Formats: sequence, C-alpha cells, structure tokens
Amino acid sequence: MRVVVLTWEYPPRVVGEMAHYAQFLCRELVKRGLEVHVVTYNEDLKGVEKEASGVVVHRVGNPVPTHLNVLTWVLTLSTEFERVCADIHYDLGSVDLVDCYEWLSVPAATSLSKALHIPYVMTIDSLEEQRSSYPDNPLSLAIRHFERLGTQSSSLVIVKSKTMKEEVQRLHGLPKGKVQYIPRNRTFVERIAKTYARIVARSR
Amino acid sequence: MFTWEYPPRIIGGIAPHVYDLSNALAELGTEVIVITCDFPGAADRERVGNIDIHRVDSYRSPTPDFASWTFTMNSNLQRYAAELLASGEKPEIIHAHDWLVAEAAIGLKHMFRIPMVATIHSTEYGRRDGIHTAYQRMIHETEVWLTREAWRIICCSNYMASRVNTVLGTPRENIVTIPNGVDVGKFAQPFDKEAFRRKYAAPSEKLILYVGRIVHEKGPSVLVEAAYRVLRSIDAKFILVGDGYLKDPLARKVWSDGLGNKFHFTGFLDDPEVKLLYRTADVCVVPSLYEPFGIVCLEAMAAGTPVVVSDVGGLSEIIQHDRNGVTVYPGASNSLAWGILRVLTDKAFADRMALEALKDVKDLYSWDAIARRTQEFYEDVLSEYLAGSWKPRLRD
Repeated sequence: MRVVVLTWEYPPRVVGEMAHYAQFLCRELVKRGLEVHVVTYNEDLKGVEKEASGVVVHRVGNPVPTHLNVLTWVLTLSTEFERVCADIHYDLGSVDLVDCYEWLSVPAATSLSKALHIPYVMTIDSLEEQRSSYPDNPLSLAIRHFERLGTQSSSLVIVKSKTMKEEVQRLHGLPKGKVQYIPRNRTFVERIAKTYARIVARSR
Repeated sequence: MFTWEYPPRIIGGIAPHVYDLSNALAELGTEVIVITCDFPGAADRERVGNIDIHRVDSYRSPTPDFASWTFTMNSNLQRYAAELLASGEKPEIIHAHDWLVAEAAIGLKHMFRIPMVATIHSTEYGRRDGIHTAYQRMIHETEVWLTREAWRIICCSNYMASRVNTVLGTPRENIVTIPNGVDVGKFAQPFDKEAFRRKYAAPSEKLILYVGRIVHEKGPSVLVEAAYRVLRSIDAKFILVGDGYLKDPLARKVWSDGLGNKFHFTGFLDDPEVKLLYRTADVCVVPSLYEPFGIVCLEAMAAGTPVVVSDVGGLSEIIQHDRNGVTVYPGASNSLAWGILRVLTDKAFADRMALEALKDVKDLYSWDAIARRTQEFYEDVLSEYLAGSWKPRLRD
C-alpha cells in the first residue's frame, strides 16, 4: 500500500505536536510494510529525502512567499502539495490513500481525491472552534469551512480522544461511524494500519 | 477557460474578453468549457452552442480581504473542476485569465497533467504603478507564479509583453502577442444619426469624442488643454464619456474658464449609447499617457470614425500615423490640438484614414481572426506537449 501523508510540519520543522507524531507513525508504518511518502513544508530543505527508516519525505516551499494571513498561505501551499502528490502518483506508482492532517491539508486532499480518485482520511488534533478566541471572525469562518469540508469529503476522521470525537461530531454534524477514536497507546500503530487497509479496501 | 468573471457577471474587461473569445473559438469548432464564479440569477450550468458554462459557488461568507476571498474561491473552482474532469470531460488545454484563477489552474494542470496557458491582461505592478505593500507583493508573486507555471503566456500587445517580461521575469520567447478584438457587426445597426446627434451637439459644432475613465493616465487633462486651442479655430463640442476622480475637477475648470458649454461630461453610459456615439462623432481622441492596449481606439475604428491617439503603448502598435489614424506626442496638448484640427479640416484625408482603419479592424482585430490565432497558439502548445514525456500515465 502506498500512502501519502500531507502535513504542514515534519521534523526538523516542528511547530506543534503533529511533527513528532507524524514521524513516529510513518516510521512504524514502514516497518509494517507500507510505502510511506510525507509531503510537507520546509522552505530551507526543499527536495526529496529518503530517511534511513525508509520514509520518503518530500519538502516543498510556498510558491507565493508573501502572505497576510494563514488562509492564503495554506491555499497557495496546497497547490504545491497537489503537484508533488500527483507526481508521486504518476511517476512512482499510484497512491492508495492520503492521510490529511488538520484543515491545513484539506484543500489539497479534497482536490486530489476528486481528481485522482484517491480516498483520504483526515486526522484532527484540534479544532478552530477551540483554538480561536473569536471563532466567528472571517478568517476563522474560512478555516472552519475547510475543516467541515474535510470532515465531509474524507472517508474517515481519526481523532486521539473521546472528547474530540464528540466535539467533531457535534460541530460538524457527522453521522456515527464517521469519526474514529484511536487512542495513542501501544496498539495504535496497528489500529491505524488496519484502518488504512479498511478504507482502501472499501474504496476499491 | 478559467475566469473569475463571465457574463452576466461583469466586473472589468476580462468578462467581455473571455466571452467574445469563447464564442469565436466555438464558432470555429473548438469545444469550450468555461469555469467561473456563480452570479445571482444566472444558471449554474448552461450550454450555449459549443460552450459549456459552469458557474461554481464562489464562497459567500465574509473573508478578511479580497485576496483571501480569491484564493478560497479558487479552491472551490478547483474542487469542482477536478470532479468534472475526472468524470471524463478532459480538455486538451487549460486557459487561465490573470492571477485571479492561478491557484485553481496550476493545481489542475499538475493533477491531470494537462498543459496550462495564461493570458495576462494586466499586472499588479502596472495597476498600482509599482509594488508598495505586502498585499500587493502577494498578488505580484502570484502573477510570477502563474507565468512560471504556464506553458506560454498571451499578452494583448507587444508593449504588454515587454512589461510582463521585465516586471514578472517571464522569458520574452514564452510570450505571444494576440491582440484584443472588436466586433464590427455591433456597430452596424441602423439608427437615426441626425436625431441622435442633436442630443449631444448643435449642427454647427463638430463632435469630438473621448471614451474612458477620467483619470490621469488616460490624459483627459491634456484633451481639455488641447480643446482650448481647437476652439480658437473651429466650433466643436467635446463629449467625455466615463467616470473618474478627475471628472469633477475638470468640469469645474472648463466652467470657470468660460467654456463649459463646449464640454459635456456624461459620466458612465451604457454600451449601446456609447456605440452610437462612436458612430456619430467626427473624431475620436485617445490622449492616454499609459495604455496597455487601447480598446477604445479599436471601437472607434470599427465605427468608421477617424482617430487621433497618443503615440504610447498598445496605441502605437495599432495606429500608423497618416495611414489609419493620426498619432500625436503623449502629454502635449499643442500636438493633440494639431492632430484634431488636421482630421476636422481635411475631410477627404479623414475619410481615407477611417476606411483604412475599418479594413484593419476587419483583417486584424476581428474576433474570428483572433480566435484563429489563439487556436494556432493552442496547437503549438499541444504539439510540444505531445512530443514530451510529461503525461498523465500511470507507472503500474
């Protein structure tokens, strides 16, 4: 199975918790026989790196360097994510699944799923509703728009806590079964791998 | 065709351009898919002849600024188009118009590996006379990105092509000049010229027409200065159609100078009225100080009216002095007055130029001619694409 993980942070670029989580998970998945490509942002380390672990990391820059807010920054970066993911798909072999981290990767993941019929799961660690002190401002509204788009057009939403599962279901009005809670304990890599396999099998 | 405006949604010059180009291409047998923003009252999906129009939800919630809306709208357009193209409707070329659809077009180009071309109608640098803020830089960088990703660029004049070359850094050989077009047929409906003329000028007055925004770079102040000179020799009425920040100051000036009755600042007029004015005028003047193309000049030519234009930008490429019009020094009111008087005092000369001009419009600037050149352009790009290895071919 060939998986592409779209994440805006991956070591050595560490902004929050996702970077280390992504690296740990990807390395463990490679050990289980998956082919894992990470597409991420890093202005200073652009290019492809094959880690000793076997994870292939594709780092891109933002084609438009100047931005006034995170929304436009994400949307121009998404196009680079699309380019790299399409290149993997055509040149290295068809991609079976995309794992889309947070709303930041949703524009790319959604377009890719429509264009190339690649199913995607969305991993959510936090929600704009909770992050923003004023979630109804225009910027937060647009972010929530993409968050909702992701929860709706992905095949499955993966969260790390029960509270988060309830929050996501409540905020985005999702049906039961759309959100899966996978605790980050000793068995979680196994469960993620199984979940990936289930989604890929279902979409075939 | 990706465009942020398409009739009935008309904001600037891109909507009529894409509309006329799409229709002319369709006339030649090219299948055209237009993907654009939605508009109240317009159908979400419409087929007109060979043109398939898709109007996509363009995101209606408030956004922090225009660019944030633009990029969010692009994301919506792209998602819609991705689904459409994946369902089997695969175009051979993606054609984007200006930075406003860059994000959507570039992503689709890569996901489907279809060659993408772009028309640059104007640049942020030109519109703002330089890049002064971070916001403007973001748009400027988006334009650079679009021209870098595009297989080739179309500009409407050699002047604009050289601007795109220097301002955006696009190699000159990647830019093709295909002019804007004008539809001569739209200037041919019968009308009562004498009655129409009486609305604007006395029978003894020559009718001198200016059409355009009343702003510095279009040169209306130069025209007013020139008008004073012209009025010393002949009786005339100067009609200035359009709005702009110089309209009120100039109108006040001509009244305080005692010549207010020789000028008429009409403000914005609707299209049919302007077309009739073109056909009624004795001369049409385009005194611009800066002009990427000069559509007003072409419209006057299509109406069979002699033109006097400043020798700048796209105008210099359309008009050859004494053959199909009169060119004058930009910013020089005495030169402009000389040009106007030349046309108004030698009817045979003026008629001959107007005939030459009309012939040019039909030969070079008809939408049919432009669509043919655009088709050739598409075919050049396609043959290069077909010869290359970048294809949507799966490895396994």
